[in-house]
Amino acid sequence: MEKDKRISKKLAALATGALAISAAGANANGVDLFEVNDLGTAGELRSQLLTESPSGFVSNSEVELKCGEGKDGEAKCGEGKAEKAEEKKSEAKEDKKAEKKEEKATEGKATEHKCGEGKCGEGKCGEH
Amino acid sequence: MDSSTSKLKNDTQRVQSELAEYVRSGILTDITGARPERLPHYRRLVFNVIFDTLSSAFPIARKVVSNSWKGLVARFFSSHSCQNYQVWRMPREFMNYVLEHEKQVQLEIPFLADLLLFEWIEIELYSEPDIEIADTPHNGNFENGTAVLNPHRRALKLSYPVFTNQYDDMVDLKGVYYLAVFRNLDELKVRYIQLSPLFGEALMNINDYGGQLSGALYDQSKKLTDISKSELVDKSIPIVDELIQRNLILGFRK
Repeated sequence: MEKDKRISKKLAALATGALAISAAGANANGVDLFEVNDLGTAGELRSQLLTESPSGFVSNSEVELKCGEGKDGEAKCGEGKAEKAEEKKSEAKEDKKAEKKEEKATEGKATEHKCGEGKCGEGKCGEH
Repeated sequence: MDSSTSKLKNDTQRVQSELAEYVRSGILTDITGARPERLPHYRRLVFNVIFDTLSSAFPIARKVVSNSWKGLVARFFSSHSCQNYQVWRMPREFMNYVLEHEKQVQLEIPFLADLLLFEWIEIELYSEPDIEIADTPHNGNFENGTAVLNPHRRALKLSYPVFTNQYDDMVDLKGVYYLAVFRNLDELKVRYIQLSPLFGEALMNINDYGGQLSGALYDQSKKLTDISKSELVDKSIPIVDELIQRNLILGFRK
C-alpha cells in the first residue's frame, strides 16, 4: 500500500509536470524524506487538474479563473469581468426585450430593472 | 435626528431584513411595499451571485460534487448567516459550513474537506493583506542560522492527495500528504509545493525551534529515520536551495 502511494505520487508529479528534487533518502517505510515536488502555480495546477481529470470533468476554459490567475497572470478579483458582464448584459437585454417593453408600459420606472438584471446576477443565471 | 427619521429608518431596516430573509429562505411573507410577483427575481439574482462566487472559488470541488453542487450551495445560502462583509471571504464560510453541517456529503466524498481547503488556501493567500518583511540581512546559513520564511505561506497536512488528478481513486490513496502553499513575492502568484513528511513536519513546527530549520529537521528526522546530523544537513541542502529559489525560504540570518 505504501509502495502504491509512492508510485501514485510519482505519477501525479509526472502528470502535473512537477519538478521533483530528491536527495535519495528513503526511510524504513520507503518514504522519501528528502523530496520536494514543485506542483506549479495555482492556475497551472488547477488547469491540469480540471483538464486531465477523469470522467465527469471538463476543460478549465469552462471555469472562470480565480484571483490572480487570469490569462495574463495579473488580473485580480473582478478584473476582466466588466467586459464579460457587458456582453452578458447585452445578451440579457436581447432576451428580455419583449418582456421589458411590456413592463415599461405598465411600470414606467426603468431604474427598477437595474437591480441585478444584466449585471453580475443576471449574467450568470443562464449558464447554471 | 427627529423621531420620524428614526422611525423611518427602523421601518426600512425591518423591510430590508424581511426581504433578505425571503431571498435566503424562499419563504414568502407579507413584506410592506413589495410586490410578491417580483420578489422571486431578487432571490434568483442574489443566489446567482452566491453560486457564481462559490463555483469560481471551488471549481474542482464543484466538478467532484457534480450534480449535488447546486443543492449544497442552496443549503448554505439558506441556512448559514454569513458573518463577513467581504465577498472574497465567503468561500471560507462555505468551507466551514460544509465541515460542520454537511456530514452526508462528506461521507460520500471523504476527501471533500481537503479539497475545499486546498482550493480556499489559494484565495486566502492571494487576497490577504501584504505583510511587511523586515529588512534583515540574510547573513546566516542553513545549519546554524534562523530561517527567514515567506510570511505569505501555509503548511498543510492533508489526508488525501487532492493536488493530483486521481479523483476516481482518491479514497484508496488515504494517507498523509504535506503541502507548502505560498504567495511568490516576485510574480505574486500562489504556488504549491509537495513536501516530504520530514520537511512538512519541520516547517509546521519551526516556531518551536526558534526558526532554526536544521534543528526542526533533525528532531523530526529522529522520528522518521536513523540519520546523523551531518548527513541530514548534506541531504537537506539541495532541498533548502530549491525552497529558496522558489521563494518559500527567503534566507537565513545569524
